[in-house]
Amino acid sequence: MPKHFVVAAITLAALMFPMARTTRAQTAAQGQGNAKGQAAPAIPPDDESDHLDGWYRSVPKPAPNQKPGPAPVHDISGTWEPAQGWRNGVQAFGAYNFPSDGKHTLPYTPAGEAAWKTHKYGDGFGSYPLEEVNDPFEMCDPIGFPRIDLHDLRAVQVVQTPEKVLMVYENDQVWRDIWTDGRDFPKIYEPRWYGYSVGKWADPTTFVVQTKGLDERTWIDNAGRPHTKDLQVEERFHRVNHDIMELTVTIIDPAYYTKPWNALDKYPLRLQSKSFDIREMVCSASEAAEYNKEIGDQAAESKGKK
Amino acid sequence: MTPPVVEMQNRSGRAWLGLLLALALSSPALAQTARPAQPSAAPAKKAAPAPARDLNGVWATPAPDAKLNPTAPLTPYGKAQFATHKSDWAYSVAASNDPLKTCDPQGFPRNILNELRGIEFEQVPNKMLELLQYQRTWREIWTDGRQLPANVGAEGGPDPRWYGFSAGKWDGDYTFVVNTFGTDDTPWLDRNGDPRSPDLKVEERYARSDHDTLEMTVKIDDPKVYTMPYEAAKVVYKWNPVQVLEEQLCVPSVMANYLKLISNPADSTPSQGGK
Repeated sequence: MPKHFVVAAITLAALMFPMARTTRAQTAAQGQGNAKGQAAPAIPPDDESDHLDGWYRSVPKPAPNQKPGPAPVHDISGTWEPAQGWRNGVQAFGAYNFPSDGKHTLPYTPAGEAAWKTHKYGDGFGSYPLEEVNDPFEMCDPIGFPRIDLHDLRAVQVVQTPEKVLMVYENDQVWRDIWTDGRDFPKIYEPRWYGYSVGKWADPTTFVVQTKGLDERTWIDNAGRPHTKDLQVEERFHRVNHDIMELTVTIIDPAYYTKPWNALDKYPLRLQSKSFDIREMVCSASEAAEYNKEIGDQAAESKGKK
Repeated sequence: MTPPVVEMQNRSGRAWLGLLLALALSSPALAQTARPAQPSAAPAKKAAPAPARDLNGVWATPAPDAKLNPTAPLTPYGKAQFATHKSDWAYSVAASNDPLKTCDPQGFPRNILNELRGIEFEQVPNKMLELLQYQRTWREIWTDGRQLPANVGAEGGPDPRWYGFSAGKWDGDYTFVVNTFGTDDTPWLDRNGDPRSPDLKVEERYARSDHDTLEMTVKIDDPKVYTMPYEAAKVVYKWNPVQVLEEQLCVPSVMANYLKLISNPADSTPSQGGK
């Protein structure tokens, strides 16, 4: 039985079940590129569920031609979604600014390129046959950081407390602590799926986060970009005005990349209302396994008929 | 791997799964739980008064599992459901079909009754956020006065959710009351494998008696499964002076390897347990 079929169904699932409960496999194409020899799936038109929150309450569209108020000082709190809609944050073919489309080339070192070739991703240019895909997130291993920013970036709630900033993500129903109490990174630490993060205000409207100590088992994005244990990630959250915040994510890992690269570059997020309920997006390993088997059976049956 | 061998000899399914879960948690799993999420052992001094309408902060739990009260009598439907659940309290790990064995989501309310490793509350406009150390999940508890959705699972209504739909309000200045409905009935109610239905309603009461003490009471109301409502558990949380929740994730690939290489071969003979 071919095992790794969930990615095959990724786009289909996203098109058909945009809010289904096992949404881990719901990676939708964003028009970044396409798998070898395959036409890129069309982005489906909005349907009603695109404009509903987790309680199925209507999410109002931004009023046209309404000038947003100014950005408040030292405040990025609230619930944010990709400004172009949640489908835009899916990043199925890899980080938004460096999709695996045959056009964007990352500055790999030889070691980095070799590591990348061991990661058999299922979407984008040069993607692997479904039965070879070895994406750890496929079986619901933790998505980890920075992939949580670079794959299925959907709603994220930012909470500021006196000591830290919390990032509460729709994807994988997970959260991160970003310490703002002046602490430094721990001198001795175990690698973590979400690393260790500290943040500070670079200016009145730009919050900068540094993260280290990341577990090597995670991929940087859905195109299998690799990293070492020495990966450092910088996130810049710049609030442009009351409604819009731009996120820049910089990857720094000299062993695998000859220079830093921006996986996201001023990626716009839009503030949602205070009554916005974050949709549930939980990965169930047993459901993923069942799903893989079902899709695998269908693929095998289809292959047998040819 | 000495500890698993010892546990194998004891044939204690419960201890087994607890250890197994600990090993599968995060990377490297066990080491990451080393930082104590427990209150200080310093000599007790009288705690400051509880602040009004404020649960914010990190709370420590005395033990990973809540002490469960006996359930109310089961209905025939409930008995049929329960008969299919093989908990690690009654079966060996290999024979158990606990969904947590594959790192499936605990769901609600099992996440407040089992694997209690520490919680955090943060009150934000319109809602209370609850963050849980185990599996690093979160819940939104709406405090804006909204009613729970009555049409969960119905056409045009939201789907049931692993963690349901929750709304909360203050009963006086020191007790926060949360009502939850619309939960998915796939997860078990608790570690014992007690059953539940889509009609489940849960009430949590968080009573803060002083700055350092928060008592949670959980009431279960599921007439399809239980003949009457009952109190599932009380858990006394203590203020965690460290104010940190650790990363503690259940990793399916690690768990699968552990089951394959150690747990299943070790449990090749039937357990003494069973229903």
